[in-house]
Amino acid sequence: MSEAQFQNRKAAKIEGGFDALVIGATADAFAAAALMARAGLHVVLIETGERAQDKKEIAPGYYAIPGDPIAFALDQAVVDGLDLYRCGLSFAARRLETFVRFGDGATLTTTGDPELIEEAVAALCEADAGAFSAFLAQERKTARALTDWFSGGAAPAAPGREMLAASIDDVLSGRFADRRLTDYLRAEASLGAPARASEPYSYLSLLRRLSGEIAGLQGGVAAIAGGGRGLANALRRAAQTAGVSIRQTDRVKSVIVEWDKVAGVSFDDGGQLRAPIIVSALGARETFIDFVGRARLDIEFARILDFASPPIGSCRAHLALSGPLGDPLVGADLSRRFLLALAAQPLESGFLAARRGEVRPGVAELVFPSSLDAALAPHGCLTATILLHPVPYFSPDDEPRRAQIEQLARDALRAIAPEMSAGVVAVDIEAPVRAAPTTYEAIERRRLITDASGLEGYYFCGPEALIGAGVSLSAGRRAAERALRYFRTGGAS
Amino acid sequence: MIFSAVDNSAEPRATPLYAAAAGLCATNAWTSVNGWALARSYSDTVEEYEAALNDVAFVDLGPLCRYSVRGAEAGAFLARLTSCPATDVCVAESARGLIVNAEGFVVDCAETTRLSKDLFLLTTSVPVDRRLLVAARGFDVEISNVAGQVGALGLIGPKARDAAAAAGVDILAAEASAQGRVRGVELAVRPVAIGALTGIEVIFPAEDALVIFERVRGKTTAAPMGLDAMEILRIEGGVPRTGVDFVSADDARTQGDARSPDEIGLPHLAPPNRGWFNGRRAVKNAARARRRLVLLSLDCDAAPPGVSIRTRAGIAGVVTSAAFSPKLKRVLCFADLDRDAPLGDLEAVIGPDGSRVPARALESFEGRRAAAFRENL
Repeated sequence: MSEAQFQNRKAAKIEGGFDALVIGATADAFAAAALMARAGLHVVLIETGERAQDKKEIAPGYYAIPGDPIAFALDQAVVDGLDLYRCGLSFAARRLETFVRFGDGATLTTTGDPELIEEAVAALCEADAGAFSAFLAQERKTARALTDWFSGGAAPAAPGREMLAASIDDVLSGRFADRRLTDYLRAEASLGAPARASEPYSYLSLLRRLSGEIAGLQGGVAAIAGGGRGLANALRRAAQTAGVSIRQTDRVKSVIVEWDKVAGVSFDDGGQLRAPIIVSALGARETFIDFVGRARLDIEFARILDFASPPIGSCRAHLALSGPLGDPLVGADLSRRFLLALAAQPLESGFLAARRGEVRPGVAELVFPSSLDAALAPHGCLTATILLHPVPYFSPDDEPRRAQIEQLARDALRAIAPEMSAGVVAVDIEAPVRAAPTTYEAIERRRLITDASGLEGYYFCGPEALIGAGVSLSAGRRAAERALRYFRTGGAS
Repeated sequence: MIFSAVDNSAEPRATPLYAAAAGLCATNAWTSVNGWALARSYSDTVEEYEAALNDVAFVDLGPLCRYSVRGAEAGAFLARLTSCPATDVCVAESARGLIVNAEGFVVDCAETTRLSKDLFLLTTSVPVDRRLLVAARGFDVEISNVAGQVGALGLIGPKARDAAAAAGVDILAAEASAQGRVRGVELAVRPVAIGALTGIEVIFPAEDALVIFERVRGKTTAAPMGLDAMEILRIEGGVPRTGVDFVSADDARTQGDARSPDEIGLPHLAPPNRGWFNGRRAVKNAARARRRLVLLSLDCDAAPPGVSIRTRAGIAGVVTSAAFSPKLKRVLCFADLDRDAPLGDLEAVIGPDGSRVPARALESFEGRRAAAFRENL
């Protein structure tokens, strides 16, 4: 052993005295850590990998905020429990209007308040306005009954499984005279979804979308100040205020399991952090297969983790635009959310093409962050963030694919604002995000993954514990609640 | 019309020892076990039983399922798949255990034998190929189903080791090794038991089956023993049989049909205080047993499976397998009973007219081990 190696060995420390460790740096990880710390536990959050930047300069003077600029659902129990508003959470826009551009060029502007949808729809199709409003009210009521289930609670007694297994197309078929209303709902439900609207269980995606509550409004949309990073920063502050100590490391080597209980984590340098509770916010495979090892997992449980990832995903592009937009209809108010809602056939083709590995137009969701935060673009210029779905999942290093996605983003922007005169100065493509599994599959998988590992003291709030796309913090809350129950019962399973 | 996925019409296949066994089988009574032909009785079941009990008998163990597991992680893999402490087993040693699913229900009984540092033999009573395939993901192991490629001859009884030595196949004693070459034939030898009777099993390449058979027949007095005599020994020993006394968890239609190790009377084969194995946590955290498999003696000459066992309160369970014990002169049977059925108040309804005979719980070799285990847990 060389002198350096010997010194390194000496540097490895075994630290104990903690009640809980949280692995990961996601919003759910911070939420779980902060909730446990507020309940009196001595918590260490192990932040793996590099800390994400708050802003990224995509062109001189133009900045993009990585992550989702808008949110559909934030777990109110977490917001209240951690007092996130005091920790810096704020909304740049609470009741974001949605401007919908249909495939035939028609438009629909929904107000930020779903209760007022009837008037908005009447402008597009008066005959359907009442029916559409009534349908949406009914679906929101159904969705409210499922909120607890979506956030990790028990399955509801009603509606029945047949209803939950329905496709969006089945539910919407023949409901409205104007098919564009169906296109709008289909587009809303298809964002981030892995399946076409004609496939079973896709209706649940719509209910999931309508169940979310944000800024006190069910089914609404809000823009968080600072985007996803704004929420992350608020959660970080909440965690620090609650007394969570945050450690930065490249990677966790393994989770120490003693008998059937977790006892801590070990690092590459031989160091250990020991605690009887561990919450992991990393992926399920990493959490269980890499950290614990197959040899310590039930065969049936390990098999659950061998699921195939969806071949499609979503990709977010940030565009720097020189000068004002130019399109009078879109440019009239840029502090809105813009949605490109194609008709059923082109959208279906988009999903099929994405599964084949081809890039075709699908749903696009556009916001102009610079209209909410003027510091993101030079005076008189704009930044736009556009979410494209579905796209084939690709490696971030795949340059030809990135070029195709860039072209798709430009086309989608042009489709939403056809009279746009502003030039695109630069385009920055984020790494793609895999589509979430279908809602029902995700719920079943979450139940199996969070309940069946059998390792006492080991809790999970990683991506597989989330239902649908977007952050909600529910997974972190559920993991924290389970961990606290375990802690209070003295480690009894 | 399309082809059926089920092929029930296949004739049982011949084990490597079939040709030799067929020549000895005066009764010509055969049955199929795992798709292999096995003699139910060669001449007289009671004589075969007594030969095994007092001297030595040989049995064709070819119908058992066998897998070779080779690789650096073979021990760890088997210790995860089965409750056998495979990593602690030395070369030439065997360990008995259960295969349990993640819910803590029994899939099958299993025996692992370490043939060399990196090579194990896994023996099960029903095929578990799919389970092996799934379990092997991520392990450095190579698994192969060797059931058709090897023959297996069991020597059972108090003089089994002597017979093996006389035939020159007891390499366990000679070289403390589970495998070796004896007069040009590659052999693996491991200890086995049928019920409470112990013996050794000689495993050899299928093409050498007749060589080994002639050697054992020529050098020993061992008599052939069929399945019926083995069943008597098994039931006397209190060893339940998969698919007969309990349904494998992989075949159970509902969770109510599946049985835990405690419910089949083999808790000592899947001790929750042993190192990690699949389903151990579920076994440890299992709720109270719902049923229990009990060995009963009945004062009658025969009791077919399915016979009801009653208490004063009503039907408490059914007979799952039964045999007439020549030693005890009465029928012994396994009965699947309600957990709370009082053992002192049982009757079997044996006749079509509803006639009843008393049924008494009987202590067995396996039952004593289970009771000792429960006391010490």
